[in-house]
Amino acid sequence: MIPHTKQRARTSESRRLFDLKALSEPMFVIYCLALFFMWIAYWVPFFIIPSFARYRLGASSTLSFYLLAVAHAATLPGRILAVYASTRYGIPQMLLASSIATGVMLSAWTAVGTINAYIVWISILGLAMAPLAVLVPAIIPQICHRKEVVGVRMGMAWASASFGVLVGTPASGKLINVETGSFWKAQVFIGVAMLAGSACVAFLWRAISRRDKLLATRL
Amino acid sequence: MVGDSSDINKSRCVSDFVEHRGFLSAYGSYQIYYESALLKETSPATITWVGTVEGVLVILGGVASGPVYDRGFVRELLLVGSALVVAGIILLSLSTKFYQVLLTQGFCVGIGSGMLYTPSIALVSSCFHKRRAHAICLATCGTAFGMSTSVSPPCLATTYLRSHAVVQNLTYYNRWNLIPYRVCEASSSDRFCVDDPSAGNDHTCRTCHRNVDHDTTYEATRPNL
Repeated sequence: MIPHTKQRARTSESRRLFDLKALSEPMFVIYCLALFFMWIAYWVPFFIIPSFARYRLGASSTLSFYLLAVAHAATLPGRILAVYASTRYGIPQMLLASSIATGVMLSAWTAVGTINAYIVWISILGLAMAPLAVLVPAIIPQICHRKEVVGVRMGMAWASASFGVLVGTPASGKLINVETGSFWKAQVFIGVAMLAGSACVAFLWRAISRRDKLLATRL
Repeated sequence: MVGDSSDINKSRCVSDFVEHRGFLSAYGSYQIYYESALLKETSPATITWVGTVEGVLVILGGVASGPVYDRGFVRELLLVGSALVVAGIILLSLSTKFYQVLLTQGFCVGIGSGMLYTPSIALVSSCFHKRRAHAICLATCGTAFGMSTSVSPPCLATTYLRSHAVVQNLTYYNRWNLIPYRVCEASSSDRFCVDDPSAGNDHTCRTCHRNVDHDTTYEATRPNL
């Protein structure tokens, strides 16, 4: 068996980097906004988990390095569960559940005060965050009307996510003060951003289910 | 042929993810190391830009390498991407100033990882048909495994970084050796013309629509490791 790299449609349309027409489709715009808001928050915990343990909770440097490994180990069952759950309950529903859970967990970060609580919090956060990265690309085919534009749309959606990264991580870096151990501004910022993203996902889910109902009645 | 096995394709794709996503996911430990030891005089907010640049370039590089992958330059993407990642990590082990860290870890590793992103996703989805979602899911689990290879408590020594680069190099050779592709001589316009595994033994060329066998195709030469 050979990886057949010519599997995609070979029209000139599928090879473009930007498609202006996509911006006139409300569903796609909502999806891009959702990705933008969610990716403001997505990488921030992974970047500051060790710093929080070290400078706020006073953990040893060995432990604070390992906490990052704990977070990623916790994403493993989350990734696998996400696939099974999304085949059963639907991809937008799982994405909505995951983004709300992540937003709540990120906001709850301000209440974490001890190392033990922090480890439990990290495990739950990893579990909640894992489906995000797995399910996000899977929605694109559902909101594209033609198969040929999936590649372009995927690229545009990820570009909006990268703008989110560009906003989120430097801003939260500015909001953190390592010397005084003050992290709450950044925690509130990413929590609100993630919840804004999940609101956009909720709109998207409503739009998708409405369209599906409309299609069903037409048939 | 060795590379025909799905399991090996899977291992190759997992090793892709181990390589570049793992390095980005482990950025938190680099951040605290820079804050507390290597770049003490630089403010933490400034240091965050290293991870930001890396994260943005991984995603944007994936977007830009999509059309390149579509045109069939999969080996070139893997070659240049892996070379950039390995060179970036080795140069990072020599870095002592902020701008050096930004250039090596932020730009060099970021662009290299972005080039590896599309092939690693697209190869999984083209190698698996029945259980594609599960295969992609398993391949992305490589991120978590890669994370554990990238984290280095209690401190990041330069020796560690160099050994990490060697590991990356090995995963790269794993892929290089196992990417077989056939080039159809009948289609001059395209670099590839590969057969469709879903068609079973009936190797019909997707570009020139004729039966492809070993007379009309040749396998690209691979380094003998």
